[in-house]
Amino acid sequence: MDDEEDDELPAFSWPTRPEDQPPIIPVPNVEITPEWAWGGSTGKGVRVCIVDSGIEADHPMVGGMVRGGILVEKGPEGPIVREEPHDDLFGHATACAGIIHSLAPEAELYSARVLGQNLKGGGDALIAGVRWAIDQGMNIINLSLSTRKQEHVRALHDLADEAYFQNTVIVSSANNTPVYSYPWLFASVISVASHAEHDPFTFYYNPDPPVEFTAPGVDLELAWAGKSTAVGTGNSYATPHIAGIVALILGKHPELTPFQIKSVLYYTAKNVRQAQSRRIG
Amino acid sequence: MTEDLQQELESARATVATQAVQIHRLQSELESRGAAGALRGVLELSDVVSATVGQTPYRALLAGIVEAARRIFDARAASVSILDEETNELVFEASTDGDAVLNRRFPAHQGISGWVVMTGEPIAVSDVMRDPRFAKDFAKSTGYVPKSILAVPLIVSEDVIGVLSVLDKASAASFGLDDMDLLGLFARPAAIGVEQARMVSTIGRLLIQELESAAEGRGNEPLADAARGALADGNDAIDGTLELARLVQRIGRRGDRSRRLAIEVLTSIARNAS
Repeated sequence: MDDEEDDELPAFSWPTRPEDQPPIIPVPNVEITPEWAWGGSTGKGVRVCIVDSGIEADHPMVGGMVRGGILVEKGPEGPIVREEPHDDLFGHATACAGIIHSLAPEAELYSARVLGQNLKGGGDALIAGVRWAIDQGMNIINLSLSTRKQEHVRALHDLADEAYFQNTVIVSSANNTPVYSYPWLFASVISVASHAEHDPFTFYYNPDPPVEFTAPGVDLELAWAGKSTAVGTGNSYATPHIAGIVALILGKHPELTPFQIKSVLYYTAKNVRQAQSRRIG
Repeated sequence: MTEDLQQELESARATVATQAVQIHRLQSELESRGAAGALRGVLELSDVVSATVGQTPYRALLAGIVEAARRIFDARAASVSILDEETNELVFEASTDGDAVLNRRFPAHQGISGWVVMTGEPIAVSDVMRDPRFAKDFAKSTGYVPKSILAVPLIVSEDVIGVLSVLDKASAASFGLDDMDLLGLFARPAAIGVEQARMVSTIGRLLIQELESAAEGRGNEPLADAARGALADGNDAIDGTLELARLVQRIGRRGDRSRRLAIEVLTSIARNAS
């Protein structure tokens, strides 16, 4: 980091003396189970931004929950963000939205379309979309995309950390091919790959990171562009399963931070819960 | 098919070896006879390059790739489309369905292949016929609408250079994660092969263009005319000037490694020519 950037950092502070310590934070004396984590939740009050190919807002499987969105377009000096309704160029974002809506029917959906003509899927547009979602204070960003471009790693990494510290949970797809891509490789996001089961609430903790969780991603019935449906396979569709479950958790426990959310996912993962029940507090 | 391809590649290798000898000979000639003779030699060599290791091995390689992919994945058809960065279009350059679809172009920001180009991610979908755009895209590009499709990027360094697709798995309703993994692995060496074959083909073309400008620069009009003629002729060795221009531009955008290689070749010729 150069000096110029150092100058822009805010002053950090933390209490050092016993009398200055923050008050005790109460922790519920409960077992962290799916019932505790999201039982009864509909995701109400939670805002989820899908940064992707643009949600088709009037697709029946999205349930009319799209509350807003932006288009990222190519401008003379980098990407331009325009707030306006749009359709889905491929079907992919609508598929993700449909999955989240099926799990968290009252979660509000926002669409950042970062693919399109002349954008070439560039990392610039992806970064602009994530930037917008963070600025809007979204609770969750679903990123079933990644970029391979090394030039974007630093900017994306900073954004992922910024999201983490402002309590925006980024749920990010592992690439379907064995390559380095970002941001799913960052520790500040929740990274997701596929398993072949179909129960939408079945997810596993992967003790062998960087992929941290696996969720359903094989032969799923998906919402697709043109008010159609399709059957699809890929980590892209596993990711919104976790995003949907996080929406449910945050609907019920809005105070949880990203690292606590990741811990709750860990405790409620099928392989962890069945191995040994855990009690906190 | 595979044997044909093997033969093509062996013949290409033999030609490359011959060229190395020819280049050495030309360099010796240059020292003894001066630039004009060398330039004439370069012209001859360029013709040989274009005619023998230019188009044919590239096409043969692509044909081999799609045929192998079709068989490995038990698919009805397979195809390769290559990204034309200038127009942001995908161009069909090989298909197991025959030559009818070759050179067809479609926008690289739409449809299943568009998704692959833009994201660099593979995609496996089936039963998407109800999306009218999907059907239209496919009817236009492949001549029929598949029930299931698996498409993966052809990646060189960080760039997507094209898309490899397999359509309609015969033994199952859709392509699964294993298919995706396998086609992804298959696509990696395929992409490198495509890029190398294309580069060899491009170098042949670059030689002629460089010859033209070198001849012009030295006021050697007859030679420049000859080179221009070779470029404009539509002679079999060179697939049209537009294609040439496109390839030259493409190599310029291919990334540092390719650019450096191209510059090396051109610089060495330019040095010899002057």
